Amino acid sequence: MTQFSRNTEVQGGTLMVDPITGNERWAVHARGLRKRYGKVVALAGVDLAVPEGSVVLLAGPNGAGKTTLLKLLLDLLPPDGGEVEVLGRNPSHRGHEVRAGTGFLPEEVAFPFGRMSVQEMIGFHARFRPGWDPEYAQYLANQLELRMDRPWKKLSKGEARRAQLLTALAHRPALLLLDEPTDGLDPLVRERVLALLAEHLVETGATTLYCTHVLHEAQSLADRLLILRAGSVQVDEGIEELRQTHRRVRIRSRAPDTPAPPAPAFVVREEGRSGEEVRWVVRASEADVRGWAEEHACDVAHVEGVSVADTALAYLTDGGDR
Amino acid sequence: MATPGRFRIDPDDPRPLYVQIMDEVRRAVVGGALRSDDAMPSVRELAGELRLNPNTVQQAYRELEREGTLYILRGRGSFVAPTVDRGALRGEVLRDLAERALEEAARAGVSPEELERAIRDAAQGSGGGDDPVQSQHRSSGRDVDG
Repeated sequence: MTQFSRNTEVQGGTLMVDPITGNERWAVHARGLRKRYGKVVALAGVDLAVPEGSVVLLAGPNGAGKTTLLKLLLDLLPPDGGEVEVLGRNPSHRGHEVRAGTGFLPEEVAFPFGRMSVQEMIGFHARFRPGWDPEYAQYLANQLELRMDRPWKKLSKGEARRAQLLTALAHRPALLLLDEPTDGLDPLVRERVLALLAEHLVETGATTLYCTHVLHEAQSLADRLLILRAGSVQVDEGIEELRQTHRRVRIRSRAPDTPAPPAPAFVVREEGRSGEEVRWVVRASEADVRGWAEEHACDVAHVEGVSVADTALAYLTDGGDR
Repeated sequence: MATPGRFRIDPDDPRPLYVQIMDEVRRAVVGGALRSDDAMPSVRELAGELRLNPNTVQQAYRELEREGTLYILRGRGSFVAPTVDRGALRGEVLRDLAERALEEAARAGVSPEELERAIRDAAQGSGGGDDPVQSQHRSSGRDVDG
């Protein structure tokens, strides 16, 4: 079971602290990172500190800057301003070292390999990846049901995605940058890919930025949520903290035919409203909501937990940035 | 050996995910699905099965070891402790069940007495053959999105 593992047990917490300085260690650290394409601002000053070994769910609407951020981290694009350090290195100066230590799954499926077979394409990648493990690559190929003799240009989108995933994982990089890793995969393969990723993270402890619109399938894999909106960080918080601080509530006006009051500041998103009743995702304790309801002549009809995926959705919805 | 698919976690449940795993394991021990010295799934297996962050699973196992439900053999994995006090664990599981049911009832404006009566009626209506510990699962109300 553990023949591929480098360290079977991730030393929870201890990995994130420098043994000499005692400081927390960051796999990615950015300050005021800016990028524009002509007049379009892609990143408007991003501050980011990703602790070593954490798994960050990176969400945001299209055009929020997610893909741009990943590309700046790998020096595939130059920043217009700000500072960034990845795996302790400045990507602008030591980009090849950063890329060698990273498994990158780009958003787009590229087909530059023409007549090469899957096997040849994988061999091509292996030559440039220090730490490439042929046995692990074979294991992944089996798990992903990749047909090695298929010519690259004849692959379906899903097959190409699986081959790309293999090349991102098989050298067990310290950093994984995954841009929509399950995009184009059928439901069964999605399940398998997510399980493989979870197992991979147990064995490698890799720091991961997991970029996706399909939040529910990755929400329990992550331990941090990062939301980008219009090129800025809107949310950057631990998963458990989000789960503890957010609730879904249903509030009802006590007086008949009286609409529920407008949303107070602790409401992240109004999910629905009908007559006397309103449904909100709130950032508040149940006691705070009850206190507010008491003051506004309302009953709290229901309180429940809210998943990280729904919390993220609440922040992503227009008006969710109050 | 615990079979895959036994443990379930609920992303809408506000309890921390590692606590949910702990409760699932305690229930399996109380219900007899996990017996003394049974091997637990490895962290890798359980993380893969439930798509969980490695630290979540490790934290659950660490806490279960600390409370004496599991013991860890280095290099071999985690096992159910033969010394585990099933009576006490059963009491804990039941108390947790009752507290959560009472909370839900209070939110729906139902008194403890009404709830008790409703439970008896429901148990009679359904034949009452189920082990209450195994059959309960849905806790927090999910009627909102219905």
